[in-house]
Amino acid sequence: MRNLFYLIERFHLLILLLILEGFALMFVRKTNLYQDSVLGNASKAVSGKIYTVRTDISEYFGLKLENERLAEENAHYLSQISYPLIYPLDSTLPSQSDSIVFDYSVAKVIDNNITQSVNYIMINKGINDGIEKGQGLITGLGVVGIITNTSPDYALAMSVVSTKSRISVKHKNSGAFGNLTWDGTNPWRLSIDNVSKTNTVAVGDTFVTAGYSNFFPPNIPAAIVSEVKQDPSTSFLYIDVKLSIEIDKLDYVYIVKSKDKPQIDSLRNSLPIITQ
Amino acid sequence: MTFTSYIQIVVLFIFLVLSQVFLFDLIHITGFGKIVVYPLILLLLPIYTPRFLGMIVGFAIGYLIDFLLGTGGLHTAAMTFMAFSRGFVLDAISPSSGYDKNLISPVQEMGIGKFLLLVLIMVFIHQLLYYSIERFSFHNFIFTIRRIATGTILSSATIALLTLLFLARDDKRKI
Repeated sequence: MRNLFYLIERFHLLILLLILEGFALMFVRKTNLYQDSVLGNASKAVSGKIYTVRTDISEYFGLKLENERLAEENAHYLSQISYPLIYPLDSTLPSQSDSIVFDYSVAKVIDNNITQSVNYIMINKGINDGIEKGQGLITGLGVVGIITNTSPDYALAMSVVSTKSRISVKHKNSGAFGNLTWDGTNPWRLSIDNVSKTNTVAVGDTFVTAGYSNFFPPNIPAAIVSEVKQDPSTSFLYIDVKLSIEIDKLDYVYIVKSKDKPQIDSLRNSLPIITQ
Repeated sequence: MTFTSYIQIVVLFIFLVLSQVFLFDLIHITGFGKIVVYPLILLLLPIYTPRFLGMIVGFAIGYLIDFLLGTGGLHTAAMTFMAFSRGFVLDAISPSSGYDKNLISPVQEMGIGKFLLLVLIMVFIHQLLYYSIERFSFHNFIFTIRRIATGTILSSATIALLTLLFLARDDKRKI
């Protein structure tokens, strides 16, 4: 017994270190890296308030740019109303037939990050405004992310610029499918995998959402090809892309709510699992 | 320790936390680490503070920052380990005669040069832990190393500047 006390006395700093680090890693695991957390706790409520104040301050400095961007977007919408036949399906706006299935609502981005390996965007709408897990986030110019956590008044979306994000996209010209992923280094360089070499992809081509997953409507722009690499050892192309939006300059975003998603999900879940 | 010096420490604490949350945390440079200034509070504890107490204070400060920034436990983990290693680093760079037990401020006790060396080592440990835990894999390790290195340089330069501006004032003889 005396030896035990002696050991504890001798190594009390190390023991304390292990206990405290254990707690810290538990916090990390609970909130940051995995999406298990419940956002409604006091910590998120406080940081939500702080982010709101921070954004209010920094918004003043971006007003001019934001106005220009909005004007650009407005022009785009207007052009669609007056010339619906010239821009039928492949436009940036959801077409008439999409809007029957999808609902859109506007939210303001109050925190945005591109420096972590999994990045989250916080918006100022939550469960009280009908926001749910699994809804998509877009701007008029392209996809932004997917809602992963919600609280009564705020919600977190995992940004496209995350190593855990994987969005099904298709090549606008050929219709070839692929997955938009990020390797965690440069937020201005993402990649698209699983596009087979039989397709011709050129620099400057656009990839749009495939619309399979029901997170996003089909044909929303996602990324623009910046480099195409051939590797003789595989049958797939290496495609480097740039997002069609400026992920570090988000202000207002649209939340996509699919009216049929519950039905589609329950249909998928009702399938007997054959493989795996 | 006089009443005014307590007030000074509380004011400095609030200033550092607020500037971390509202200023330094907003500065992102792609591929670079972020600037952290709040570890300075822990380094200003009197040198003969019991080490377990230092670790609990480090844990609490880290938790406060995590609470305000919504980063889970990253800052907590980094600060706790930094507080743990503080004692060993202090031993390693102590003068041969040991530290003067009567002085309260580590800046006065150690002299500005040694204090800045302490800052550099401590900030490096903080950044090492922070980015290793944040990424938690060896994938693209060069990138993580670059963030640790740039974060350490930027943070310790900022802390050095703050120290020279606000804390080294009464200590000109020792520079």
